[in-house]
Amino acid sequence: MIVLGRVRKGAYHDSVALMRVGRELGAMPGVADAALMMGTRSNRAILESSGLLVPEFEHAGDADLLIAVKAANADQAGAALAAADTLLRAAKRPGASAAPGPRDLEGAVEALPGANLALISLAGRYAGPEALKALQRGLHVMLFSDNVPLEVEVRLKKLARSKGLLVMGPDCGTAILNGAPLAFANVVRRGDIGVVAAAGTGLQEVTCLISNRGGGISQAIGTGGRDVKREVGGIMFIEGLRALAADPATRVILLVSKPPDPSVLRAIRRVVRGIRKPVVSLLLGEGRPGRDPVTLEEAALAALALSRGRSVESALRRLAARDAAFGAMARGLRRPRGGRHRYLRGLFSGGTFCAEAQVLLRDVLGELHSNVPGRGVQRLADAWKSRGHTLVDLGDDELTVGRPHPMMDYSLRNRRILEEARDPATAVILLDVVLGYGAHPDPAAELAGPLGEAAKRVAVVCSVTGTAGDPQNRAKVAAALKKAGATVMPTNAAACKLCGEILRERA
Amino acid sequence: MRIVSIGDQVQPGRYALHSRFRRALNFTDGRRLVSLVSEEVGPGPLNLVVPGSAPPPREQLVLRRQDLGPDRARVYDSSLHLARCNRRRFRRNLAALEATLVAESHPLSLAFLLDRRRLARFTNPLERALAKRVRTGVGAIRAGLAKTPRAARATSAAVAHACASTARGVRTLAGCGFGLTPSGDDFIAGVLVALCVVEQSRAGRVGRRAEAGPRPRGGASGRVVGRLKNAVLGAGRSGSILAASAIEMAARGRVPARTQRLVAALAGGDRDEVVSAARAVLAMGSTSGADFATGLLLALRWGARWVG
Repeated sequence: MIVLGRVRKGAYHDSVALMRVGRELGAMPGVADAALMMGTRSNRAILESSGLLVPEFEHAGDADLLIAVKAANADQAGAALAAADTLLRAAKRPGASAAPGPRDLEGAVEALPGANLALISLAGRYAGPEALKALQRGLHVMLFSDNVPLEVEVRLKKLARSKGLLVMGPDCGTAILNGAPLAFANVVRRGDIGVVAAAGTGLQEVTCLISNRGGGISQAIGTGGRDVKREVGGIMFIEGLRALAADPATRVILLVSKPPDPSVLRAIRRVVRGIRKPVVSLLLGEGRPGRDPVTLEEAALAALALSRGRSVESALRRLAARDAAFGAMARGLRRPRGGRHRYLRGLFSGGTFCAEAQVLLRDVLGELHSNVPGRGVQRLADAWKSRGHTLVDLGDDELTVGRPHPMMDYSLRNRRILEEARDPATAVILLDVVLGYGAHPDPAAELAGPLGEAAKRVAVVCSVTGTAGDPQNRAKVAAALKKAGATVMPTNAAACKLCGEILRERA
Repeated sequence: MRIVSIGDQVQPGRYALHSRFRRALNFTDGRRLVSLVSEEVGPGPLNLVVPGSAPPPREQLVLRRQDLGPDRARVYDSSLHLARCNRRRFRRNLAALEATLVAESHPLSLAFLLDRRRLARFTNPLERALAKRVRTGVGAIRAGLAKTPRAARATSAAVAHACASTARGVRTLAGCGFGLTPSGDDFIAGVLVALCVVEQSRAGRVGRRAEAGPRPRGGASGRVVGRLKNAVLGAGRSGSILAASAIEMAARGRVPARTQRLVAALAGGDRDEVVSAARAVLAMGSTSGADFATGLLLALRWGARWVG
């Protein structure tokens, strides 16, 4: 490792900008650690204890900015130092979002008369009042914010229902309305399948699978995961369902959710019974194998078959035939290793994928651990430390406070991939890669280095959620990941099943 | 240039631009600081508040005595205003402040000192080294403040020992952090304001506005607190003029309007008032408000037995 440093005399930046740029540099290829701090005596002591102190810093003053990079070689360290200047300039420049524009909801409504939806992304404590204002103005609301108090959510949703409006969220990251992707969403074909989901990445996976197989989406409505809890009563899940039932462009309705509260489930079933369109429902962990869809891909293919007037059973049979080949595939991936290499380490950016993996693997692998455990899964004492077979949702609130979501920022996951690969207990690393608007513009470039390193030691299996129309292009990303050494599967469910086969004998 | 409010500690002089942020321009004459701030930032002891969302760009600031008088704009009185303080309510209010800080402050702020789970957000080696140094410094300050004997029992040696421990902690903490006003310095300013609150409380000046100057007040207990405050001030002097000014003002009990509101709410307000005032403080800077409030809270808690 080599450490390079630079002193910027009299330069200063906002502390959060310095932390953010430090983390961005730390995520660059070959960079082990990076720091940007003012040159106080204490900060120099901190740099020394982190192995980032260089002689150039000795005479720096309190008002000087210190930039230090630790990297595998001088070229990579030099590149990171050069990038620091660019990133700092970008941080200082008034952002595009600072361009003159509406400063509040009233201004936005005046600027765009006729708008009928407000997308609100504010700190949770401020989001509720703004959502209320939007509803009072007759606007549907997509509430991207999390940490909105439960009682506020219930009040907003009841008001929306009384006004015939939708409140998607809080913590709703995905929707596709009238062909327009909102927040984290993919470029999918328009068609006749309508989706209501209380599971963000679940919604992305099913819409992409349908679109990639030639089907299309009429509307995709996210509700936020808390909507199907008892306290909220599934108000918007049911309103979304009714909206799709009344929508002439929707012929088939697909419901996706983690298991709802039993009272909410009963209410949903009552509404479904009154709908005269085919309804496919996937309640992760609740489906009866052989009768209901159990995975996101089964649900997507069932909806697609119904929209084409074909048999659901035959679609699912084809899927089962494909799965039968995973045993042989797994044998090709098993490596002759010592008995200690026997655990799965799933590092997910999508919470729904983590939940789906738990459902698919708990009976195959036995004891599983997760930071967001479902039924029959043990809670991890420390989300940063794996234990046995571990499935981590890196997008969970606990791990994302103060940092971008792992779909946008791969630094945390890349570090974890390398840690898991070095762990002698790891046999397989399982990943999801989610593309589309809002996601990282070039995930393959971010992942290639750590995946390549990891693939030298363990099997790496991943799925890519996206379409050819996404800004990143699914085929290109999949090819790059494959080149880096990963086994790329068509869906998260397929990736999980392959991992199950690889580990079946070791478990 | 129209000015809405003039801080009562702003001195006439010729100042040059020191640093520029979106909502504040800082000027210095080499010894002193003056900040030109937006209304959103609000009044402070060294602030000139101008209307609008951002101060107009300028490289120099020339302030004559007649520019700073009450006929030009409202002069902001930056002294601490303490309401009558009920101990039980005070402790309850400290708990409300703590809950707000833990739930709502920036993830990389010093609020991890209140809830160890927040340490999980310090992920890279540098952030962890920063957290470790902060904990070392704060541990020593705690040892000093919490173990300082009440004046009635105080021996000179015991007080000196407490002051030495506090000063050692402050020296470790001073200058710790990423930006121009490091987190450690904000924390120290919070400790100093807490000591001013304690000092005023001991001085029995409840219900009146008081100048909490460097001269100790409040009998024997007040003198002990005064010595602690001087120990913190002596050890916490920073090389950055921004941090140094904030620490000096805090030692003199001169605070921004948001801090005045928080202190008043802690002493005499209800939970909602504390939460609302705490949120206003949290909005100061990126982590500054949270770091300051953490220092204030912890020092008040460790020195709570003096308050009342």
